[in-house]
Amino acid sequence: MTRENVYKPETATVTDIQLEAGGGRPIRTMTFQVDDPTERKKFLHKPGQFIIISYFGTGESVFAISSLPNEDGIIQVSAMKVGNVTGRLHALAVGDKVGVRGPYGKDFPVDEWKGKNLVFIGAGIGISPVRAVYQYVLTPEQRKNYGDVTLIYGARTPADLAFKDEFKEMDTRDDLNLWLCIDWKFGPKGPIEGNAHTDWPAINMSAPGDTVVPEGINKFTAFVPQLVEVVKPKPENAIVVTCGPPIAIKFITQALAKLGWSPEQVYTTLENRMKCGIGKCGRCNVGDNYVCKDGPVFTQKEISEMFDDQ
Amino acid sequence: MAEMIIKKVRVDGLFEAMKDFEVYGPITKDMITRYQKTTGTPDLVFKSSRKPPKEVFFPQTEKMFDLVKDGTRFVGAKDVPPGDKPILLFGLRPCDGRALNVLDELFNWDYTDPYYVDKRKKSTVIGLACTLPAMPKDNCFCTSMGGSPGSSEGMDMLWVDIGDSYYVESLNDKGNAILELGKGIFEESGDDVRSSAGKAIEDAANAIDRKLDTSGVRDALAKSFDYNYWDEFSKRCMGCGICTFLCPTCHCFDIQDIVKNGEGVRQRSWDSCQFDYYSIHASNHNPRPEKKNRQRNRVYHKFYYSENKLGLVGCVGCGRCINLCPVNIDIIEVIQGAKELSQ
Amino acid sequence: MVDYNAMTQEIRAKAKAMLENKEVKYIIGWERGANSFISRPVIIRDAGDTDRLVWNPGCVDNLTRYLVEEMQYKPKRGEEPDLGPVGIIVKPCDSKSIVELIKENIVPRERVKIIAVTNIGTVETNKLRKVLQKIPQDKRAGIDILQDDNEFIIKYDGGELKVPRPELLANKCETCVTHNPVIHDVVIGDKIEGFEADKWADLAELESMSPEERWKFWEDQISKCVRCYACRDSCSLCYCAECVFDKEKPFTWIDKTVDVSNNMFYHLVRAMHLAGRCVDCGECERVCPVNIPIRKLNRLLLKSAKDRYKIYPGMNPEDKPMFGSYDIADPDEVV
Repeated sequence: MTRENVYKPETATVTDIQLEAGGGRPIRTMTFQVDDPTERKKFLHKPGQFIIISYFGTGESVFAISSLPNEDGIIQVSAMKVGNVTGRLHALAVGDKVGVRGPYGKDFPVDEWKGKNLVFIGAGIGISPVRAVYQYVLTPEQRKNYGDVTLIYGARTPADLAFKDEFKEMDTRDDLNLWLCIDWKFGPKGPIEGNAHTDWPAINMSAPGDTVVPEGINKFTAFVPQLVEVVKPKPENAIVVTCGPPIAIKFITQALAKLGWSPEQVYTTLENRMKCGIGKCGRCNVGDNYVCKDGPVFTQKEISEMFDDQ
Repeated sequence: MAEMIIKKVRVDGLFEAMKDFEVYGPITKDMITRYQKTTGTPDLVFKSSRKPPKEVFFPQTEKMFDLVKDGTRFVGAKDVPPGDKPILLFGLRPCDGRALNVLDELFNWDYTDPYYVDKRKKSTVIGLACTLPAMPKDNCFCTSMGGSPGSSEGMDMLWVDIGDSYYVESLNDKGNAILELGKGIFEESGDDVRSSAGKAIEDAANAIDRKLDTSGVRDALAKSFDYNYWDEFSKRCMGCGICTFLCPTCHCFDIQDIVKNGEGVRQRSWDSCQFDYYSIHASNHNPRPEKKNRQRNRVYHKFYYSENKLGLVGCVGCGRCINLCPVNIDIIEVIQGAKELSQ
Repeated sequence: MVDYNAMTQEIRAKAKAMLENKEVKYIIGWERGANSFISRPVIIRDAGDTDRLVWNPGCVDNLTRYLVEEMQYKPKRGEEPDLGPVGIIVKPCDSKSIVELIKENIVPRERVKIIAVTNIGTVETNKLRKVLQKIPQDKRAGIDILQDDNEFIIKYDGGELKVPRPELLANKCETCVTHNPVIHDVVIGDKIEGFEADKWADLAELESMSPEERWKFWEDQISKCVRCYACRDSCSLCYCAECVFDKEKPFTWIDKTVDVSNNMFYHLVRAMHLAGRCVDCGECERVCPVNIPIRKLNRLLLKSAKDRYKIYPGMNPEDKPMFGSYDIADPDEVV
């Protein structure tokens, strides 16, 4: 008896693991490939979609996919170690087995954005879903379809900054404006050991818009929303893609509004707690929107019209 | 549509003839009625059940599949073949029948839920109209929610108690199959029987004293989301799961991996939006941090979101949440209050 | 005959005075339920609203759980903590909860103003539902329940129904140990003398069973549990900020599977956590939607605390908690 069982994951094998950020809440990027070659095609995904990964025996968790669209069943996610399943995933080694089901959810309308300038804003682990889009946009085939690309990313401490090597390489690209920031140079117990970023200048937090940016400096000590006000991305013919903790999104949206962005231009991806991923189990709703089915990609305009408890 | 009658003394005979079914029916124990598997004739005299009949198709805990082991680690999933016995659900009350419609919509919406849909497909549902004196109970308000004590929605066959026999109405092929199975047990009906069945239903409908005027509810809710009102009445909420677990349309579930004695299964169990850990993120951020948020979510889900998503109101007026709430949170009062405030 | 009307007036006057004099932030009390025949909890902040307060045999809730909520309230970002006292109306059985909460340093005595009533008994909700069937449905609105030493009197539109006390009295009231409040700032009602001490009669049947029979009994009962956690949520002494049964990180102690083994785990752990602390207010059994006799479980432990360690919780704030005290004479055969 075979029946289509949407809840049953396919077994996949870990092919690569990279430690992106250390510290108390490490981030690892994991790459998986679906074992069954006949099933691989089903895992063709688009930027913004999510996948549900099982650590068999512990449970399932939802992750934004960061790999480029492919029909080889290759899925890449970046996960911060915060809970039971992510704890298990962080202990994986190449060759280990996990379960995957998906991809689910609405993607970013990247085709509609062709010809526009793009601004990517990521805060903390929120960079992960944003990365799915900018990686896609920055591929040689796609880059020519878009105008200016700006990327703003910040994390709590230097240790929390993820994808360091990738950013180092991206910093040298001339088709991308990269801006980085950290919230604190110092930890609660004084200077953070091995901190290579003490030279990142602070900005005037009360009036960030007045900050004069020294030539050639693109790394600061600041919160992401303030850095946005420093960078002053222009809203004309442009789109923002942002993600981060709820509090960061709130202030990023306010900063963008100050700069003249309208809510329709600002795309974000919501992450609520999910179990089924397919609109049955109930818990991810924001008003009458199921994040898993109607999202996770929403514009700020759509979000502002929701019955939002927050 | 075939109409027949069955004498009460012959009901046992019918259940004998339906031996091939896995029969679920109302069983009353310690003053509580539940729909449980039975090999004999279920209770014919009962009020509406305490635990709603959704548990027949959507059990509180349900195994989804086995986990496959390689050495000491689990590496995959293996489907469990579903049982092939047809299911007979007997004695469904009309409000619960309408609730099945909501669940049918949900579990077939977009992706198909294999567990529920599979059981539902191979089931035959025989409903029992609410008639005096057993029904209506306190706080029944099905007539306000578009139902009636004689509604046959969600059923394949409806029985109406008319004294020493039941008036039987088959609603589709599945119902006709039961008529076929009980050939010789069911007897011809007549116009007078139909009218006395109609009268019994009408009498029950007239005995329903709680009413909710649902006109304008959506407009009222659209306006009142940010009102302090939600905070006020939910102050006394204790945060237990009674109103959701015992609601015939509530369907939230959790998925967990269970490992016992080295064997692993993935399982789903009912969950409740009234629990604070229900929506909490791994980062400890909770989008619905307070009882006010959670109560409001329940009310809006029933009376607003459900209609947007599934085209059906999520409340069928069974009155369970009102009867069983330990602190008297009364959904009729809550909705009426919101309506008055938003005027 | 208890004059519930006069007591209600007195409660309202006291509550009003407390609110007007700013002695308390708010009053936790009972109000008339909507379309319900028992009363329900209400929080009164405005002196003008005190007329909503009522006192009658239908005031079944133990309101002290709202007191715990106040004590555990975490101010939101930027909110000034307000440590002012709150007022609460309690029955004698509920007053035991406050004693226990004070003993356990959950409620500082100065943060609560206790308006206590004396009480000869409240109604059992399940029994009331049955009794009310005798009153025509259209006459049930606006009923009043009164009581004297022998019977409950239900007054309804155009008549009254007399019910012998045992037919309506809450089970917990049959084993009541104090009809007078054990802690209070204000007492309302006459002191009640002469009632029988708890003889544990309700436990006789269980205690006469063999261990196998008893296990079977509990297995039957516990298998009904739907794990709505109403018993825990209604309990004033289940005040853990994060209950072990909710804890998900770093791992879960119990999964959501509803079966005898998990349900038993929940109920036994909860009972043990309440051993020597449970004051037998009866809320857990009252709120249970599937009629599990949870009180019996707690009372068995209450009895053994009393028999073995001479501890009866909830009677005196000066008492030592059972697990916090040791006496050389304590029985130690299991050590």
